[in-house]
Amino acid sequence: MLGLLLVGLLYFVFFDQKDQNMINGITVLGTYLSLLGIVISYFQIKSVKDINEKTKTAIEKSLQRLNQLVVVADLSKAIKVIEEIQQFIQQKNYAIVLIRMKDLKSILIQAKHNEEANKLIEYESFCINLNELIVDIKNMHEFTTGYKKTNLNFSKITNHLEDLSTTLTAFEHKLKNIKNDS
Amino acid sequence: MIAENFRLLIEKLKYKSAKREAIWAKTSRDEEFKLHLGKVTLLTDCWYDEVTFNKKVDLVILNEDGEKIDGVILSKGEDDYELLIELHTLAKQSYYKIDETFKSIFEELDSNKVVGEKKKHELDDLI
Repeated sequence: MLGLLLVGLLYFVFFDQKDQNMINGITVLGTYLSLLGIVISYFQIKSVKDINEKTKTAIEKSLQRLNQLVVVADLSKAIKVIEEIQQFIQQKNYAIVLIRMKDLKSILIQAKHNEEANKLIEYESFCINLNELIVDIKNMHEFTTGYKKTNLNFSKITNHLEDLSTTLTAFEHKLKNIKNDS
Repeated sequence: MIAENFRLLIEKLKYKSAKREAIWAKTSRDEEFKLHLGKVTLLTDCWYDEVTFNKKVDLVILNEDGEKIDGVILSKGEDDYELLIELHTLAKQSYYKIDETFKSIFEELDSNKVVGEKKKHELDDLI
């Protein structure tokens, strides 16, 4: 409205009396409205861009949180599997021990390649524990197939699993606390 | 007869282990030792095979997902068995720090001080 008054004033100041006709008036008004349209479009585009960025950030945060929840669920499952394996070792049910150890390895490898988990995990101790599990699986496989029947120390395997359980429990608590803070 | 790349690998591992620059760790098998190198794990084991009634030694390479990339297994009497058993012995010595242990024992024995520990209540043993 203020702009319209300003344009009207400029029209009467800069245009000679003889040029102040309806056609020129419409031309000036049209030019003003075009410029106003461009300005309004600019602000609208900027506003849409801001909304898009905010939406993108919100989606990323939701995905991150979802990812964390998935990791927490996987870790809880892994800790339960460890308990199961320890019980099967006590019961000397070694075929099942091997199957569950492989399940555990699969869960841990997924967690290892999860970006969110990677940022928070005590990566070095996790990798050491995972490596011990991998070697224990190989040894358990050789034991159950009869390839190497002797010298397998089950108490050491149980200790390795206990260390792994400690690492995973600490990591799980860390993730849960992050979830509560946010 | 083992492949040339394995022979080279064993020689290099022996050299590094003899210099005490390789940190070997023990696995869940009583005589198996592992060495973590970047993304692979090397394992060497020595055991008595109850099927062939012979002593065996192996060297296995695992990738980071635990898959066996390659390996060599030799029975006593085969070519290169001695080469591989030397590596296994070096890994064992490195893990148990056998040289350092002997050195400290000799230092104790060569000194002029009395060795061993006296019990606080020696009378308990006499009763």
